[in-house]
Amino acid sequence: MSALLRSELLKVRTVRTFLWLALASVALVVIASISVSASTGAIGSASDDRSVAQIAAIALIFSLIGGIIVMAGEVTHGTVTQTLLATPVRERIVLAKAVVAALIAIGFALVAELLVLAITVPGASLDFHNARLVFLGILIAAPLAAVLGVGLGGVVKSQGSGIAVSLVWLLIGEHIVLLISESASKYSPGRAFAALASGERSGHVLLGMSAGGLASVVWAVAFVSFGLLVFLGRDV
Amino acid sequence: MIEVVDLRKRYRKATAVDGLTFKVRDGCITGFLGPNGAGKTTTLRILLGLVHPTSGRATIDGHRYRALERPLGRVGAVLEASNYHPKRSGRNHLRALAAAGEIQPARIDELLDFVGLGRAGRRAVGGYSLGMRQRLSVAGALLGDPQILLLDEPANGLDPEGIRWLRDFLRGFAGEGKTVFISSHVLGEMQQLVDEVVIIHHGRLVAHETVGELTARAAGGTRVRSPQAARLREALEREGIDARGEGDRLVTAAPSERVGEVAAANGIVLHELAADTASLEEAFLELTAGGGIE
Repeated sequence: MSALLRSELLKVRTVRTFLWLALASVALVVIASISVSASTGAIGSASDDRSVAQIAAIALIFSLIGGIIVMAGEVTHGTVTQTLLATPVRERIVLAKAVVAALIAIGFALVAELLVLAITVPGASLDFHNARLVFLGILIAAPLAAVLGVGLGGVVKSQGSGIAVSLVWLLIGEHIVLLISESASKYSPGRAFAALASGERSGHVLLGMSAGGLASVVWAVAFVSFGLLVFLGRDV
Repeated sequence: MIEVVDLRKRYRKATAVDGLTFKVRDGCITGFLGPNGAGKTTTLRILLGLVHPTSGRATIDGHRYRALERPLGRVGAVLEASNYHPKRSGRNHLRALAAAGEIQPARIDELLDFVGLGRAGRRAVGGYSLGMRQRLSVAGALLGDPQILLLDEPANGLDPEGIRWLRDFLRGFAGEGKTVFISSHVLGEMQQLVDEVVIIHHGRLVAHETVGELTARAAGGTRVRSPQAARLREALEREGIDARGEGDRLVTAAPSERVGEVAAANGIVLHELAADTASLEEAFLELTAGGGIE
């Protein structure tokens, strides 16, 4: 398994896609952090601390996209054939890709959190103590989002369609679910991850952090299982 | 040994492989021929575990590809030339493959030099010509020092020098007692290269024999030269064999073995007895006539 992980990490390191993803994530976090610091001045409450810290949750979107690319990028470029020739047991490939995507996501989350801290502690007097659960939640949510992305990447036939589907869901689908049923919408993937990254032990609009974490785990496992199932049956 | 038994692959609207059965002998070069859409690529991909068969089995040394312990050390495969990330260098592509196959990275530069990509190896594959990609595919196939090579149209995109290089390489590979199973449309090249041919059409086996047997069978006639040609003609006619010709030469549709037996039985001297052979291309076209692309 370690050989396969080395191979997957090498694939990630030898193209610039993930560097661009990281840079895009960094740019958005920096812009949001600077604008918050410039507009709010000093933060006045623990709730505000958590809201500002949630800027780092931008990394979750890029973790999701990273997971999709790790898996579906191989189909897009046709390199999945060579991967399967070297490792014909497809379950091992999906597992290795999930691990690698999760590691990348943790990196994205850590960088985002350090940037938020570096900019908003001096810029807006962010209190780390008040925001610590948000940072913890994002650190847990990022690898789960990446694993969910790997699952989605196993279902779609190109990374572009996978990214498009996920963004359309987050921008439109989540709102449709909310319109249909407010109580059910708390368990939708986007809101479950938002609850995990909220730093709130209990919530009204969202689930509490623990319940949101549990729902996020269920979504990630469900997606990666379905992605694996589709990938196992796919002719390459 | 490569073995395909009653293999079938049905897609929604078409049957790509229809009850195909054959074995590829170890230590020889076997050509895999058929018109476009005959099911060659599907069969090769089923052998490599890339496509799931509807029924039947395709095994290598008695195992499905998925069950091979170190697949790259057992089987090398050259498939389409486009299976590369355009921004990744050829060398890095081989590094990733070697890492997954637990192969020493030292072999990478050795193989890049061997296929003539020593300098180009560090360039992104997106800038490679089709021929360079094919050479990279060959390097990838050889990473694990396999005993069997499966090649799907490996000559595509290669210039005459590249084709010659590939031919020499495959001969050398087979010369070490290793097995080559190659699909190609370049029939003239295949005739020079292969020992046996497996020909399929509409997903079914239509011939599996040596090139010599196939070309002789396709022509199916015999040329004979004898100072006693008139006597031989009479003897053949008594046996119900038609023969025609002028002077000391005769041509008949009967196989050479039968003509030789009749001549010997009648004490007739022969100066020449030869099976009238066709080219592989003629034999192929005869066997796959009336097909077209499915």
